[in-house]
Amino acid sequence: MNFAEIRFWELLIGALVLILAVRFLVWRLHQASLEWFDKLALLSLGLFLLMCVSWVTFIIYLVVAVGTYVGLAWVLRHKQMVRGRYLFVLLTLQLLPLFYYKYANFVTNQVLGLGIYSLRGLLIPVGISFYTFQKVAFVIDTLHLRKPMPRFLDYMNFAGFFPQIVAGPIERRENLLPQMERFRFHWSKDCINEGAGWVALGLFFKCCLADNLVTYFDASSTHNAYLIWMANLLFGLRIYYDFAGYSLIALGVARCLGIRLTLNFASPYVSTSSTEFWRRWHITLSQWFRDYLYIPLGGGRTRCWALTIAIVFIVSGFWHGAGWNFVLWGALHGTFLIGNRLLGPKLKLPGPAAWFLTITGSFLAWLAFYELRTSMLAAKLQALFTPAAYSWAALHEAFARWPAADGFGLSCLLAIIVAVLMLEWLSVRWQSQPYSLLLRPPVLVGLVGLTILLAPETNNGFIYFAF
Amino acid sequence: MLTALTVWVLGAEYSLCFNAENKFIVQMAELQDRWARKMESEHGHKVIIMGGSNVMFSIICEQLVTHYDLPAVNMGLNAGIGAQVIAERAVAQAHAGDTLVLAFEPGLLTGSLRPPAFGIQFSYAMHRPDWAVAPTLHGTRVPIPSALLALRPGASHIFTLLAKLIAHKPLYSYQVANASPSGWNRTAIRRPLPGFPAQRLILSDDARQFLRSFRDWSDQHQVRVVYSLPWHWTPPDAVKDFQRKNAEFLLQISEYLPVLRDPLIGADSRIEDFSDLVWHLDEEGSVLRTEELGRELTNWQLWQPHELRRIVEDLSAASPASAESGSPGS
Repeated sequence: MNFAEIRFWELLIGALVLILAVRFLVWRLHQASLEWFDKLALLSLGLFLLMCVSWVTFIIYLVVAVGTYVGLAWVLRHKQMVRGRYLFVLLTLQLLPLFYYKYANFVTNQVLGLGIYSLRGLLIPVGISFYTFQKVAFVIDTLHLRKPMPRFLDYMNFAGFFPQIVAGPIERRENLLPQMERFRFHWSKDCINEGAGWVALGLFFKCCLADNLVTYFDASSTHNAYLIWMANLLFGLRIYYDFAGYSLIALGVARCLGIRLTLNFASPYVSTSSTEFWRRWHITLSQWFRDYLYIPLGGGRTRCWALTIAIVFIVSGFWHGAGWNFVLWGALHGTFLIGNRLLGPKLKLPGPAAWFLTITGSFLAWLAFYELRTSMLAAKLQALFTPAAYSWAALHEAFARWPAADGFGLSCLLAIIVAVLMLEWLSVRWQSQPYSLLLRPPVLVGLVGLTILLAPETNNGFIYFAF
Repeated sequence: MLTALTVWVLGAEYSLCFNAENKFIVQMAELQDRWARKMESEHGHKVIIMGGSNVMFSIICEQLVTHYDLPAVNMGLNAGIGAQVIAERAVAQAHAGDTLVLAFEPGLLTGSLRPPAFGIQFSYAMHRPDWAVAPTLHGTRVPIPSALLALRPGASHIFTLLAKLIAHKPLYSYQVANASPSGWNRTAIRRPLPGFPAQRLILSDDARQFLRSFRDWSDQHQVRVVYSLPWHWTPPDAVKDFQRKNAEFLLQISEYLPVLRDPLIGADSRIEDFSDLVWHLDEEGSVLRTEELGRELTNWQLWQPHELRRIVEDLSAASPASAESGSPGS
């Protein structure tokens, strides 16, 4: 379900036309069935689009989704006293496919050194980390908040709502399920206008900014600090505009259908502290870890709060990928957060300095995200902390890396990004509404124009599909 | 939606009518087509030499006509158009009794054959979108919506254009005015030639299927086909290594097509033969390359697979340090 591919939109529009044609017949013949038809059509649409991604993805999703529903119904049949025990069994079963496809190779071969080579070629089903976490949250919320079991059709639409199934946002029961229970194919002009704006902004982020940044990303240098920082900067910008772009398109498509999803990004690069950064970056995942790991471990009110933060961020890094580099990425962010909590109130840095420190930290951490080879990662980290790697000769080499034409192209692209970041900053600081200035109609018209003119011919898959 | 459509129309209009590179290629193609019609009417058959800019800047068809009585047509365009569109254009012009010389730069056959945006734009500018969306030979059928979207200029082109405008540089380096009536072009530009490519040349699966379908098509249409490796600037100390890699590549090609017996095996170490790029010969180099090609075509001199295999082995033995293990097709 790659929103940047024309094929997705062809399939979506084709399927919607078919649904509306059949809906018209149902409306003429048996109006009482319309509610049931709408929900079934939405489910069919989601399953059809997922099937178009791949059969394996579709089947694994179906197993996890139906298994969760059946398992939860089974747990609910037992008395309150023993539910905890069965909940543990159900959560283990829910997490099993995720563990097998994503972590089995890493744990058995890299950690335990068992040499089970058949696990090496496993492909991670698209979206498994996202929908597994959504279903885990659903089970816990249903049991913990003593909510009733939803009807199967509503649950399946909640679990498999197509705009968010493969890369989030990771929605919670209280937000999405009631909307699914009320779902009808209503075409409201306001919803479509609002949704189209988000889709246009998301496509601009993905196709114009993220996909063009790929052209200039070069992670080959291990000794030149300037080139490593440049790679970190380009990757950090790319992953943000790539993932935020996806999330905004998902938000927009859902809005067109009358569903309001959670805003998953809120201009994280305007943050002036690590804490703020994690309130703005991948918001639904941060909230998931806060509610289902950080708080159950004691939260910030215990004496071991630093350890709790470290655990949460290391697990968060591990969620992103099975590799030591992801663990380091999580650990780095955990350290920044602990440092922020310990030193932040004492230092009281002025806004620009705090922003610079926060952004430098997050761009440093991106190195551990994209550099999967441990030896290269170590060499690059060493270079970044070696003063000699910042020599004039290194600076000269860094400038010579790009021929004049490429350098000019990169400068133009970075100028556009700086302008966009400025608008993001103004939206947050002046209007407290992320992206509000970018969503103004005249600005949107400009962004649509830039997308059409500047988007490269071939798009790259969304980075977060790999997670 | 209206904004998107308006900008797309303007972008497509620019790409097809005002983009200096596309305009140059289209005008060169029209020039080549006129020469092809002349050869067809005067000789009843023709020898089409197709490829990227290596052909445009190396093959002098007037010389092939006068020295060898070969009614040759230069159909060299720009490698950026992609193998599929170049081949489709040549195939559209070929008839029974013609000879097609495939002088593709190896890089055109080592990756995907999907037409790049520039190739799609050229197809539309030539009013032959079928070269991209419905190819005759094995190739990628670019879906029409994707093809239409590819008519946009893209960031790389726009930023380069801006840089040229700011620096007051000409919008494109080459000129149709420098071309001979047959379509051979030359340039006064001289640039330092870049470093030498070290990678092995392995035919992609896409290219193998393309070559197979090209061979089948030529059998059905009674068109004679042959591959000719272009000349590439090679520093003297790298000649043997490059020839070995080229011989490996030709060995793979020979599974599908006969290969012309170029004694240089694609490695020309005389820097004075080249102009601005490693594939672009200057006038003197073009005369030499054309003369060699004329001789090979007239005498139908071909490399046999066992000869190529022996060259690979001999050259690997001569420079074992740089030879990788195994040779494709052996």
